[in-house]
Amino acid sequence: MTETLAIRARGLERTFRRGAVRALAGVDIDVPAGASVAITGPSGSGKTTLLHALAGLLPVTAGEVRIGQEVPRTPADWARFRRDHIGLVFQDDWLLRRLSAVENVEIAMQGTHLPPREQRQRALDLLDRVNARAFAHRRPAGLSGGERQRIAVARSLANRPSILLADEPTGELDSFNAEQILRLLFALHGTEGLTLMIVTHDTALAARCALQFRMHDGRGRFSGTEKTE
Amino acid sequence: MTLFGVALRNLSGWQPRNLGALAGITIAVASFVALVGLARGVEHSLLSTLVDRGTDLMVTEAGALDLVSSIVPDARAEDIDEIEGVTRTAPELSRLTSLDDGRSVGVVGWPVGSFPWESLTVVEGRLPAGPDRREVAVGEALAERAGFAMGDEVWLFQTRFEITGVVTAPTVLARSLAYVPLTQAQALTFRDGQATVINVRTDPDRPDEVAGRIRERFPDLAVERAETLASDFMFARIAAVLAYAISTVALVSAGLVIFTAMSTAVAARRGEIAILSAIGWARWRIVSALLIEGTVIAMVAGVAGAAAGVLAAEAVAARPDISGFVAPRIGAALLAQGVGLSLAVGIVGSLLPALSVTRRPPAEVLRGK
Ligand SMILES: Nc1ncnc2c1ncn2[C@@H]1O[C@H](COP(=O)(O)OP(=O)(O)OP(=O)(O)O)[C@@H](O)[C@H]1O
Ligand SMILES: [Mg+2]
Repeated sequence: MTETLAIRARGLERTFRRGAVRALAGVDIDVPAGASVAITGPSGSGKTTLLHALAGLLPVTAGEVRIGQEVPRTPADWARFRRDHIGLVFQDDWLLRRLSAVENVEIAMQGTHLPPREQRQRALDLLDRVNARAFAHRRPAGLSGGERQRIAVARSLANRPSILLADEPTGELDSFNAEQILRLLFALHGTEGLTLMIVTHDTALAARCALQFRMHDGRGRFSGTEKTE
Repeated sequence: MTLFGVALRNLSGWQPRNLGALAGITIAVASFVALVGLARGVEHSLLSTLVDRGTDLMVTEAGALDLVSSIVPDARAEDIDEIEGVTRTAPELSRLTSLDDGRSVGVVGWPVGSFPWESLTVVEGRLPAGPDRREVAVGEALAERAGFAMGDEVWLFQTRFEITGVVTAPTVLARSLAYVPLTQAQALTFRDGQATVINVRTDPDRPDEVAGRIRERFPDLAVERAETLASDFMFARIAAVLAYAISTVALVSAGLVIFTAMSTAVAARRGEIAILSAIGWARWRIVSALLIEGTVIAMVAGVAGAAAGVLAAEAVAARPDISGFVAPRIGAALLAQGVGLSLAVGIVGSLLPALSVTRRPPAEVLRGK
């Protein structure tokens, strides 16, 4: 009852194609701070849409998202919240091809008023943590998919977020690289109390999370709980 | 890494989209500078050739389209000389003729010893010495272009003339003409007793008053201040209109080129823009980065285009068929206009697409490749 929530969303709705597609059809979700949540469900059930809505990457047609105690409303609010509180990892790495690995991490600290030297130091430390220090000064083009995804994870952690949202972060990787990334995420979750939400089709990965939120046709609920609407 | 650093890094490497924008703007600015410079050169050289002759008033046939087609009896010069306020007069006959090699040259005839000759400075040799002599003084630009030297023979109006002098004058046009005694020009073009213009010098303070008196006395003649006539001159009018038309066209096309180049460049980067938003960049920050990129491209292209425009104008003016007639007039102001134009359109051209692309929620792009 009094547990702190990292995310609290109510009545999230989102339609596409002038209402023909109801990607989110009224989703409520409470994510306790420090929890690990797997978002599962069939393809097209709205998992990605939900994640995007929770990060403010996509305006919802109806509903409200609360991050901690606050409700970001404008795109500018959301940008600030993402910078300061929410790390994002996608299936693709989305690294900027012109920037080196360390620069790709640094750009996430734009506007934080951290002096450039400290930005660089912090970016290098993060790369160290994801085991990517060796290619800190190389551009993404010459790196493997696993290496690039590790850089993307380092970037998502740049400003010590309290929430990390990941959309099939290992979808493009072989099992060895996938395991490396997951170990890293769960380690951060364990040591720093990072709230983790991972969209996945992988039942083994889902089982590693403390909670499973199952999506179906734009609706979702925590499995194992018997909450009704 | 600073915002500026990120923007500049995005420009590094020879990326096709940046090169495309760069090339487009460079060409647009270059053609703007070159065309406007040339058009102004044409206008200017006509204007100043007439004005620099030391003539206050020019008397022509009323209703003539331009200076070359006007016909006035040369005896009018003496009549006009008697009018109060007129200090000197000189009839002039100008014709175009062709040289051996087929290129045309303007030939001007003045009475030997009359005041317009004073507008020429002898570089070498002397001016034609008497009305009966088939002697010609050539402008130094003409001499250089045609390879004339002192003592050479030259055929004008199918007649042999001796080059007795090389002269210089303040304008390219004046330096490109050939000067002969009036009587020779009249005899060889079957225009005995005729002039195209009568040059008039007046008391310095009263040219308009004197012009009125001449008009009153000779209603069949047109009397104008030299500078007015020059800018009224058909060619000068055409050149002025062309200069405006060309600069408008160059401006508009430059604007379109820059705008499309920038829009394409921005649209091609929706992924990068979306991820910057996803990692928490505020919209103004993303727009600024794109604006810096656009401005840097426009700045580089503007300077390169201005330089290329100068070279192109010089190259056009140096073409053998027109060399010497037109000197491009490209001053600091025109160059600044070229660069400024490039900057203005670069800023607008990157700002508008940047604003539009950052209005879309990043999710659309980030759903997957
Ligand atoms: N931008 C969009 N335009 C049109 N339809 C969309 C858009 N985004 C999502 N949809 C639709 O919304 C529904 C939910 O999509 P979403 O991507 O959230 O599913 P998902 O659960 O993530 O699927 P997957 O497991 O395949 O990634 C789908 O029917 C999808 O086609
Ligand atoms: Mg998905």
